[in-house]
Amino acid sequence: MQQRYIYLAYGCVIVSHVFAYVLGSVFISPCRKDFSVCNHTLCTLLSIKDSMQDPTGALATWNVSTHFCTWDGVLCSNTSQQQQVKGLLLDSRQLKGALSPEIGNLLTLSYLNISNNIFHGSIPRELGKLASSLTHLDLSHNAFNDSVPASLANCTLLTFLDLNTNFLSGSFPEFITNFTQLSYLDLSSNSITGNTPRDIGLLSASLQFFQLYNTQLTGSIPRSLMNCSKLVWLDVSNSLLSEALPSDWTRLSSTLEELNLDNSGFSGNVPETLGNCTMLTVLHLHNNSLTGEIPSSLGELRSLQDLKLYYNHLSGPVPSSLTNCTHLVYFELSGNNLTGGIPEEIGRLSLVEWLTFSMNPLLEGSIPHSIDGCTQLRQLSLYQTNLEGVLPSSLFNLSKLERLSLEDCAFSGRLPELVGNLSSLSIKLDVSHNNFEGPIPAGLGKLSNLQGLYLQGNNFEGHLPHQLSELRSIIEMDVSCSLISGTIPTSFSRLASLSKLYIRNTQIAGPIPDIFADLQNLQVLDLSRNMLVGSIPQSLATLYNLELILDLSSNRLTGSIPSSFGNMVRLQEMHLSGNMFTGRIPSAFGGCVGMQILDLSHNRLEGDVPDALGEMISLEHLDMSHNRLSGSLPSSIGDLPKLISLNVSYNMLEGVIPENGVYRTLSASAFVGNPRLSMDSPLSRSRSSDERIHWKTRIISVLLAAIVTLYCLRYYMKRKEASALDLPLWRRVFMRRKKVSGLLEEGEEDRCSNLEVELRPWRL
Amino acid sequence: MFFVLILFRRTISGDALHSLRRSLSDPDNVLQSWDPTLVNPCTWFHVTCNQDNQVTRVDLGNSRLSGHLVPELGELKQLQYLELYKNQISGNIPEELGKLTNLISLDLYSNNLTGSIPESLGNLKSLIFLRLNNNKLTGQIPRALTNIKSLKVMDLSSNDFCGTIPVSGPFEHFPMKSFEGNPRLDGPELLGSVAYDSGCN
Repeated sequence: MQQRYIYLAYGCVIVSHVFAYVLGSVFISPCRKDFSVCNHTLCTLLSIKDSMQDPTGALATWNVSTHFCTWDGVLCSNTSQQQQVKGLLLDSRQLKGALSPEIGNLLTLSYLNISNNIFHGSIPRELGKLASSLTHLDLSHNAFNDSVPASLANCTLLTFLDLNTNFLSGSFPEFITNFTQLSYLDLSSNSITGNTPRDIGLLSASLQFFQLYNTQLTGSIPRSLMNCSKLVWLDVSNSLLSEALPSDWTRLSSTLEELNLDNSGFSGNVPETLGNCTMLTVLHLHNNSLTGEIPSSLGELRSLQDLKLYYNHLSGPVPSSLTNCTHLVYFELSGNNLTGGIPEEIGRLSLVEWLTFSMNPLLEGSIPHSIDGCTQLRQLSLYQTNLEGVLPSSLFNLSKLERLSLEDCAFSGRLPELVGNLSSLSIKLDVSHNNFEGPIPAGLGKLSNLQGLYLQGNNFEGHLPHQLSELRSIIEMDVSCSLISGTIPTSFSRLASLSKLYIRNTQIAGPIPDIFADLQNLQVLDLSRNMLVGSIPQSLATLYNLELILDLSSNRLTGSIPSSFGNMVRLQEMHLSGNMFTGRIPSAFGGCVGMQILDLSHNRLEGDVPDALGEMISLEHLDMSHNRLSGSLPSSIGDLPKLISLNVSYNMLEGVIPENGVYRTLSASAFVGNPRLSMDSPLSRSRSSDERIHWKTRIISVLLAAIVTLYCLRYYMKRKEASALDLPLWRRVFMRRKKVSGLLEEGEEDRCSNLEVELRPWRL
Repeated sequence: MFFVLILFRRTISGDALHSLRRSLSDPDNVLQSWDPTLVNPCTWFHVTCNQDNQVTRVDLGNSRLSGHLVPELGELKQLQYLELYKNQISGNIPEELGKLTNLISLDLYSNNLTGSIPESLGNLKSLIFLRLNNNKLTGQIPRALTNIKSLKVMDLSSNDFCGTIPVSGPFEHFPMKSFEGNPRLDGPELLGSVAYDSGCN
C-alpha cells in the first residue's frame, strides 16, 4: 500500500513538473506562435532587441507580426529551405545598451555591423560561438569597454574586423594573427596598451587594410609586417611608438597606397626602400623624431599626392628628384633642419596646392623662377628660413594664392606693384622682418579679399599709399619699424573692418587724422614712436568701442588728454607717454574699469592726481612719472585690488605718502624726484633714512652726467659720417626705452631693433 | 570613407577653439584663418593671445554665426574677453564657462540662446561685464551672481527670466533697465521676506 502511494507521489510530481513546464513555456515564450519556422532565431532576435534601447524606433519593424527576414536591418540567405539570418546591419541608428549574449545563438550569422551607435559594456564572449559562420564583424564607434574577449579567437573565418573607436582596454589580442583570411583589421582609437602584434606577418596572404592609430601602444612597428605583400593601407599614427621604422619595404612595393605613421615618436631615417612603393599616394611621416636625409628615391613615387614630413629633425637637402612627383598636391617639409635651397624645377609640380618649407633655418637661396609653374598653389609658407634674394616676378602669376608667408627670412629688393595680381590673397600677406626696401606698392590696394597685411620690420620708405584704403576686407595691418614717412592717409577712414592697426617706429609725421568715426571694429591702435604732432582728434577721443590697446607714446602730441577717454570702458591699455600733453589728468579715467595699464609718463601734465583713479578696478600698472603733477597722492589708489606697480617719480607732488594697500609695498624709486613729498611718516622715513640710498643717488647722477657727455661726443663724431639711412642726426643716437610693462611688446620690441633706431626725445 | 585624423602639434586652446568652429555655422567664412594645423591659435584672426601664447580674447561679435557654444570653451583658462554677441547662436550657455576664472567680459547678447544662466557663472570672480540681453534665456537669475564683487555692467534685458531680481552685492547698483523686457520677471527681491519665485515652473 505504501509503495503505491510512493508511486502516486512520484507520478504527481512528474505530472506537475510537466504541467508547469508546459504552462511555463506558454507564458515564458510568446514565440510559440504559428510560424512555419518555429526556431530559436525569432526569440534570439527579440532578446537582442530587448537588451537595447531604441529611441528613434529604428527597430519598429522588429515585432512578431511579420517574418523576421523582412525586418529592418536583418539579412536572410536565399536558400530555398529554412530562412536563415545571414547578416545584421544596424549601424548609425542611435541604439543604446548592451549587445546581448544571445547573439551567439544566431549560428548562421556571417555579417554583423552595429557601428556608430551607443552600445556599451563588454563585447559578449558568445560571439565566439559564431566561429563557423562569422566573416564580417564591425563594432566600431560605440562605447564597448573591457578587453577583446579571448573566445573571439575561434572566429578564424573573419575577413573584416573593425573595433575602431571604443573604450577597449587590455593588450593587443595576439590571436588575431591566426585569422589567416583577415583582409581588414582596425583596432584604432581604443585604450589598448602594450606592444604591437609581433606575428602580424602571419597574415601576409590576406591583410590589405591595417589601422591601429590613436592608441597607447608602445615599441615599434613589427618587422613581420614587411611580409604583408598585399598591404594597401597602413595607419599606425598618433601612437606612442618610438623606435626606428622597418628598413625594407620592398615586399609592399606593389600594393601600398597609403602610409600614415605621423604624430608618434618614430626615430631613425626615412627608409630608402619606400621609394619602391610606387603605388603610394599618401605618405604621412610628420610630427615624429626622424633624422637623416630625405632619400632621393622618394622621387620615384610618381603617384604621390600628399607628402608630409613636417616637424621632424631631417637634415640634408630637399632632393630635386621630388620634382618628379608631379601629382603632388600637399608638399610639406616645414619644421626640420634642411639645407640647400628649394629645387630649381619646383614649377614642375603643377598640381601642388600647399607648399610649406617654413621653419628650416638653414634653407637658403632664392625662390626659383619656375614657381609660377605651380599654378594651383593656394598656400606658400617659407617663413623662418634663410631664403633670400629678390622675389621673382613669376611669383606674382600665382592667381590662386590665398596665403603668402615670407616673414623672418632674408628677402630683399622691392615688393613690386605686381603684388596686386595675387587677386586670391585672402588670409594673409606677410613679408615682415626681411630686408625689403623701396616704396610700399600701391598695387596692394587691389587685394580686396586680404585680411592680414604685415610689412613691418623692413626698410620700406616713402609715403603710405592712399590705395591701402581700398583693402576693404583688411582686419590687421602692420607697417611698423620701417622708414616710411609722410602722413597717415585720411582715406584710412574707409577701413571699416580694421581691428588692429600698427604704425609704430616709423618717420610718419603730421597730425593724427580724424578718421576713426567709422573704424568701429578697432581694437588695437598703435601709433607709437613716430613724429606725430597736434592734439588727439575728436573721433579718436570718442572711439568708445576701443577694446584693447591705444598706444600713442613717443610722439610729439600736444593738447590735453580728453576726458572722453573715460568712456573707453573696455580699453585694456593706454600708453600716452613721451609726448607733450598738457593740462590735467581727467578724473573721468575713473570710468575706465577695464583698464589694466595706464602710462602717462614723460609729459607735461599738471594738477592733482585725481582721486577717481581709485575706481579703475582692473588697473595693474600706473605710471605718471616725469610730469608736473602737484598736490598730494590720493589714498584711493592704494586700495586698487590689482595694482602691481605705481610710479609717480619726478613730479611736484607734496604732502605725505599714504600708507594703505599698495603704497606699503612700493620702494623709494616710485616717489623719487618729488622734493616736497614728505618723508615724515614712519614708512617713508624707513625709505629715506638709509644713507646709502642718498649716496647711491649721487653716484648715479655722476654716472649719468658722464654718459651724457659721452653721447654728446658721439653726436659730434657722427656728424662727420655719411649716413646710408639719411636720418635726422639725433635719431641715430641709440637710446633705451623704458618699458612700463612687457604686455604690449610681445617680442615686437626686439624684432624692430634691427634698425637700431629708437625714438625718444632725451629728457633729464 | 576611412576617417584619418590629421593632427599636428596641438594645444589645448587650439583644440577648444577648433571644437567651437566645428559647432558653428559660418557663412561669411570669418573663421577662415582658424587653421588647425598651426601650432597655436595666436595667429588666427579674432583671437588674441598674451605673451605666453595663451588665448585672452575671442572676438566674434556680429559675424552671422549660428550653431551652438561648446563646453570646451571652459578650457581657455586665461580667457578674459569672450565676445560672441549679435549672432544667431542657439542652444544653452555651457556650464563649463564657469571655469573661466580670469574672464572679465562675457558678451553673448543678441543671439538665440535658450535655457537658464548656469549657477557656475557665479565662479567668474573677475567678471566686470556680463551682457546676456536679447536672447531667449529662461529660469531664475542665479543668486550666485551676487558674489561677483567686480561686476559693474550687467544686462539681462529682453529674455524670459522669471522669479525675482537679486538686490545684494553688485545688484545694488544695476539700473532697472538692465532687467526690462522680461515679462515673467517680478520686481526686486523684497528684503526681509522669503524670496519667492512665482512665474517659474
